[in-house]
Amino acid sequence: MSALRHDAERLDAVAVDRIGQALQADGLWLDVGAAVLRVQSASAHLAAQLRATYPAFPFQPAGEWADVHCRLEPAAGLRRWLRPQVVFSSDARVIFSPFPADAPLPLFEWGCNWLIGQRLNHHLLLHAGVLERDGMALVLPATPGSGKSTLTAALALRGWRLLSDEFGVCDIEQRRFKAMLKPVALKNESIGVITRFEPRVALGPLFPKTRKGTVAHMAAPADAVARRHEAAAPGVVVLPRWQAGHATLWEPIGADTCFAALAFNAFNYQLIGEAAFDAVVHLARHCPAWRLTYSDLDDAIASLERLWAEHAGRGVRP
Amino acid sequence: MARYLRIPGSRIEDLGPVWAAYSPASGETHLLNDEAALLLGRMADHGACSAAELAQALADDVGIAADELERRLSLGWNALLEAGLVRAVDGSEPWPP
Repeated sequence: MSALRHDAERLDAVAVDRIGQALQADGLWLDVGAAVLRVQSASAHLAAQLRATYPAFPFQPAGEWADVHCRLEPAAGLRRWLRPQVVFSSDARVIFSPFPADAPLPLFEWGCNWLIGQRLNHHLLLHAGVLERDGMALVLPATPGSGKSTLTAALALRGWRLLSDEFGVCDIEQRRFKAMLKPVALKNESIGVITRFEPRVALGPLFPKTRKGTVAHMAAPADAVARRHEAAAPGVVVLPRWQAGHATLWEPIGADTCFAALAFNAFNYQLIGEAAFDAVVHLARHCPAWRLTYSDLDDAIASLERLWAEHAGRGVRP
Repeated sequence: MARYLRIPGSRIEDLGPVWAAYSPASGETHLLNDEAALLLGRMADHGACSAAELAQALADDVGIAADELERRLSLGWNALLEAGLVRAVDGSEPWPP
């Protein structure tokens, strides 16, 4: 289900004050494709930060249905004066520790991701970046230190349609990938890597000293936002691994490794049960899969383009 | 003598070097080697059986003596039990359960 659409007005065309008023009233409704998020807040900072990181999304100050309802409000008590903080809550339940008052965006992102992972159990939620070309999905499952977000961001900046950086949303019945189009969360060194890769990249503010280090969020490109309700058939699976100084190396992997990378990194695989088992077996058997080790983004992407041209058509058709 | 039953609804799928198996009893997925997959696959045909009976049934197919095959497959039973893909039953339990 989707919220009411007011597609004419992009968020970056709306004054920050007006976004702030919406946040304090019925909330800002963000239709990110497979889910609708509703956020309400009295934070003095959130409106500008959302405007910077969701610029091409429609400004929706009202809606009919949201999968996730959340609030970001200033913390109460003495800390309000000594060290102002912001608190994330959903359905009157506080989730996560408070963040500094001037950093509501990373708390919003992590909080919403956690809620999505808890609630969207009608879809299989792989932990993966997903991009689309030719109607087919390139799936980048995450493993720790894989550089998934860096590669996802770079591909989105080179014309691949971004579906998601965090959730590989697989419609179990249709066997197609849906978008969960939120900003790409870049951390620490990857921020500099991406700004050098594409100096015109639309990045939100830098948030230093979070529990994941310094974080910045790359806005989803306008075309990806406009097409966020277009699903993609499974195409190719790539397990990325960034390694300093390593020449670009592609190694084909078997269905067993592909299965493990998809199933055992998923958010809700076990909860869904047999239907998830069937879906992942299907993906692992039919999607060509590789492990990519790289250090040079340009070289990795150039070789990926060649590989895609050769193999994407062998992916799974619905 | 212990007898074993395959958990009804359990699934096994060939992924090349290993097998993916799903247990509706535990909701868990396990990767099995060929030995464990061979046992589980044959149990669908044989219902409740002992390790010796299943080894005897498989011996002709794989060309290995039944007692040697039973020894080789002994670790597979533990894997299947721990994965919730089979359960030990008493000999009088009816099949299907």
